[in-house]
Amino acid sequence: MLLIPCPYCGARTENEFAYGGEAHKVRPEHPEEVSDEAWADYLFLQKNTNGTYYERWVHAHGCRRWFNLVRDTLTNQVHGAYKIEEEPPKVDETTYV
Amino acid sequence: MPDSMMTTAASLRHSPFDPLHLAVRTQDGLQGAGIGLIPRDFRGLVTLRVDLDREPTARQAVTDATGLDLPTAPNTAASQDRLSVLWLGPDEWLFVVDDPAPDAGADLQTKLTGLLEGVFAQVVDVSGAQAAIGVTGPDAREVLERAVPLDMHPRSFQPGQVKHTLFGRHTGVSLHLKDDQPTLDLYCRRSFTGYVWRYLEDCAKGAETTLAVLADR
Ligand SMILES: [Zn+2]
Repeated sequence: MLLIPCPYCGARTENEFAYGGEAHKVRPEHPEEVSDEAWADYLFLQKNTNGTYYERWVHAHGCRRWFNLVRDTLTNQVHGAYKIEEEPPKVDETTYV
Repeated sequence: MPDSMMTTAASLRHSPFDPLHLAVRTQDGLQGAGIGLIPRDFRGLVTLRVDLDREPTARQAVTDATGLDLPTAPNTAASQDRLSVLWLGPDEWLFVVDDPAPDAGADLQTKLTGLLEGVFAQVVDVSGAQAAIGVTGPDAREVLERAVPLDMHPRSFQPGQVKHTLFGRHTGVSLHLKDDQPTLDLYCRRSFTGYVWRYLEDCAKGAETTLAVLADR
């Protein structure tokens, strides 16, 4: 089980959290003006990186706050967590092919 | 109207512990048991949500209403006399009035709402939504460790701390560690009272210790 460092509560086990997909996706400012294709892209398509990935989590059974996590999706190594309004930590990004 | 037909707020209340039929098993003190559970019926519970960065005056208003300084450090609680305030999140707290009087929660809600007049904040009486279970005894940490994914060891869970976590497989609880005995208060959704209580009884069996039901003072 992952040990996830909630930026508010500290390190807690994975089963206290829920996953929220890719972080830093930009919501189209005027959804009613974008094409169906662009809207579907925003809603459904994720980078699905094999390597360093920036993703959203919510501390569902703890402080119930959303935050971002940098995790290696191959090794499951957690590089750090940061609040929604904060800049991501500097990490050596890795992508496996 | 004869007394027997009088209905009062207190007599209309149903304890979430009723279905557990604890009265026949209740004893005085642990008497050698490893863990004691206490049905803490009808405490006054009030949640407060306010962003202290946007509403800096709220902090003083809460102190004026309760005499307590809002704990802003994560996983901490403050207590004075019969009132505790538990950190739930960066803009969320739970007040606990250790008093089974029917209006304990409503009175505090009125007081807080009055002093927070004009402040963008939310004060809700949740007394009927949650139940409190006291946990004490030398094996309390070991038994709880079987029910929650937290590290219950004293090095990482100290008196004065409060942690919210997953209990068993289904529900969230708040654990407030009050002293080294250890003495804890566990808060769960009211409808999960039976689940949490029986789960703890199972955990005590698993930990090969004896469990006692203790009177609520
Ligand atoms: Zn948290």
